Amino acid sequence: MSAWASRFPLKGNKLIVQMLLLLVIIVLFSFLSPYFLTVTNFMNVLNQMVEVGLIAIPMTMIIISGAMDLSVGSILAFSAVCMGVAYERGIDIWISMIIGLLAGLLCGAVNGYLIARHRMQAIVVTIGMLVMLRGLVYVINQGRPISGFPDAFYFMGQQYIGFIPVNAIFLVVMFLLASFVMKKTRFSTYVYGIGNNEEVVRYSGISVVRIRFILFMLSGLFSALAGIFLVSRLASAEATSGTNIELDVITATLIGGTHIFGGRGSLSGTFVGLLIIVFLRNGLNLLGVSVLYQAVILGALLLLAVGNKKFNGE
Amino acid sequence: MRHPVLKMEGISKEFPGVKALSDVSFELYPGEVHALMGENGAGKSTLMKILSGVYSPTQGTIRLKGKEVTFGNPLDAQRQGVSIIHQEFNLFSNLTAAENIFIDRPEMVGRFRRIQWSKMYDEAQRLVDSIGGGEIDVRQEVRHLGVHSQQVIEIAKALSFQADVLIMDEPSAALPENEVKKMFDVVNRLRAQGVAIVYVSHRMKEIFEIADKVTVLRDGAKIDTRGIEEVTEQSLIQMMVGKEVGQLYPVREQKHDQEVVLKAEQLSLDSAHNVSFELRKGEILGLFGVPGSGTHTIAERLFGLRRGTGEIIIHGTAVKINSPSQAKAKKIAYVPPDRHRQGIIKPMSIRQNLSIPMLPQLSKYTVLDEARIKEMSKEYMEKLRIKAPSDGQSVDFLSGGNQQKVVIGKWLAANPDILILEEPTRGVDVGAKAEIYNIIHQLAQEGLSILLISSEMPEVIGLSDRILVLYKGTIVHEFAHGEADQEQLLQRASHPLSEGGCL
Repeated sequence: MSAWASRFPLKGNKLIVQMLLLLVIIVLFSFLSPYFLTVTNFMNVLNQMVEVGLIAIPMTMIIISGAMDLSVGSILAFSAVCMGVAYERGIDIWISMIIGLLAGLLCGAVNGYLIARHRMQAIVVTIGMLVMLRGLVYVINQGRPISGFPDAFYFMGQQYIGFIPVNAIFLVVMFLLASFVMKKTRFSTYVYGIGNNEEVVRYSGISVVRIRFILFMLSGLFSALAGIFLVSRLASAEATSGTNIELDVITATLIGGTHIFGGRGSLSGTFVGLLIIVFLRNGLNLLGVSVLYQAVILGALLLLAVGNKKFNGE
Repeated sequence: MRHPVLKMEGISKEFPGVKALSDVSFELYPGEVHALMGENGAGKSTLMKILSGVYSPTQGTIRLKGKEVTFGNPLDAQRQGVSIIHQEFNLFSNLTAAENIFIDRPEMVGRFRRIQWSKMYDEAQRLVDSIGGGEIDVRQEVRHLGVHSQQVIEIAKALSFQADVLIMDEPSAALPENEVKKMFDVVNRLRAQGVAIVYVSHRMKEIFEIADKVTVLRDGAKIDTRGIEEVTEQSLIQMMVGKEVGQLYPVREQKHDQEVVLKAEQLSLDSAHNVSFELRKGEILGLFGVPGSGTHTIAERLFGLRRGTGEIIIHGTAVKINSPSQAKAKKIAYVPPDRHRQGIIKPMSIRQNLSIPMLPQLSKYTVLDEARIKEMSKEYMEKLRIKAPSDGQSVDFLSGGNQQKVVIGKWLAANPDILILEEPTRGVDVGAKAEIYNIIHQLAQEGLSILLISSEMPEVIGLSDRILVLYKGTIVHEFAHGEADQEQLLQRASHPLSEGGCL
């Protein structure tokens, strides 16, 4: 065994370790539950992971840059409710959708302005926005859920192409696109650079303010997108939408090997991290494990995965 | 005959590849202020680090009050009676003065592990009063205190350990002019109390005002110890500088009547006042001054890192430079003094580090043009002779000299008109130094205008076509090519009012 281990050192093979963990989870639950390893169940899981997945894209980038966005769940709800209210006022659903996206962008811009331009702490600013926006959501709509959207709109969250959910296809396309951006463009060099040594990037004549601003705008936009997909999937825009989603998103990102202090990480890792937590949740659900125990297990997994140096390839 | 309180004998210190100190002996008597002088890299700080327990010597002995001692760490040294006050104070700004003085001290802890607050405040106040800091309330948090008062707290902390030896490292550097006098009062009181003080400073004026004796180090060896009345400013500088500048520096041909590339007019911001100068095409203009004289501020202003008043004129047109990206657009490049914090991104590859400023030009629709980036990094690795197995290697594994070449290379790739070099050879070994000097010379030959800021005098003298000397934020002298030697340069930079430069 030790010879095998030394021939395939864990160092630098973070992604392989994460994939192995995913495989173990899938195999384990296949034995424990007869319903787990079925196409229907898998597609269900994919369908349900889209919102967390969409937000995990900019979150990974932001954490790589050495910051954090805790306001994503509130932005999600704010965008969803803005869209719902616009539709209720008789605005066309697609235009309402754009209004929802603009609302998200606006929130991202506020975050970005305070954090990038005024060099305020990202955690402080986004906690402020988390609380404030959630309050605003209740104010806008008195906490009443909005439903009754046209059928065409449900296409995004409920329809399947062949046997694959539309929203899952969208998520995968977004991940591929973002992966390309984070591997092949100069934006990625700047983001990793800022995460490793912000001063050097600034001293290289690059506007760190602009990069940070773009990152938080992206986060706002993707949170809004997630909000719209959530409304489409559940057929209802609610004030409680997306509560605590930031914890799932950050957990997936960290299990995916992104370093909490920035500088290191990848979107492919985040994607695997995402699959790990959704399959774990789904399997535990099928076994009838209570949500409360699920939280305990997920938390323990995070501690093991991120605290364990071998797992992190260090 | 008094006995020395401290006797260091035959101290040598070797670091891998470098001999920082060789066979240095040093004696210190109670109640004397002993100045320690030398150029940067002469070994002053290594000697003081050995004395304060940061390093242990490779060879040699330290005797304190006649007994041979070894210090495991700075706290150990402090307990045995040797304290150091660094240029940057080590105080907790959110704790009170008294807490700072007596932090982590068992004698202030009473029964049931309770802190004896009243004893601590009384004792702290007594210490502070004893060195003339009567106006300081030790119950105040340190952040409310001025710089001088903070220094008093540092000294009180050292005294609370019954210090026999107190090392003061550039104690006047952080102080405004009017507070230096107060600091001297404190030093005089300590001397009267019999404390032996090692006073490390670059400032000639102060040495003559406060010191009893002076020891000069050069290239890791002791040159001499003399009574202050036996030396003059001239003879001290002579001792510090020693031999003439060697063959490290390429011979520069003088070109005249070149066009003015950069004109700075009346630049002012914090330490700098109305600084004006002209930089010509293909010229190396040296800017020299002691720390705090404003040379660094001028560099930051020109590169847009800081804003201030005055005008910057490039190729005859006044330009606004409010950010590094604007400076880059005006073809100004800056090699900053601290490469670890400002120059290189350590975990990233040589290629990435070299290409960072130029990425907008090396990508299409933001997608990186890998082929061109590789070509560019290969070109600059060859041009600057950066030694590494490949350009994919992380810069963390490079030697200091090669890292510095990466910082210079990344700006050469940006094809600037004006290159500001600040401390271009800090922490670089002699071989790489010569290479870097050659590169700088070559670049100027090719028509690049270079502003050279350095605290190493031989470097400034050896490379520059002209040298401007800054003192307290104003230009006090200009040396034409070949006019300056180290003595005059140091004199102008440290004590501009004396006319000794004409001797």
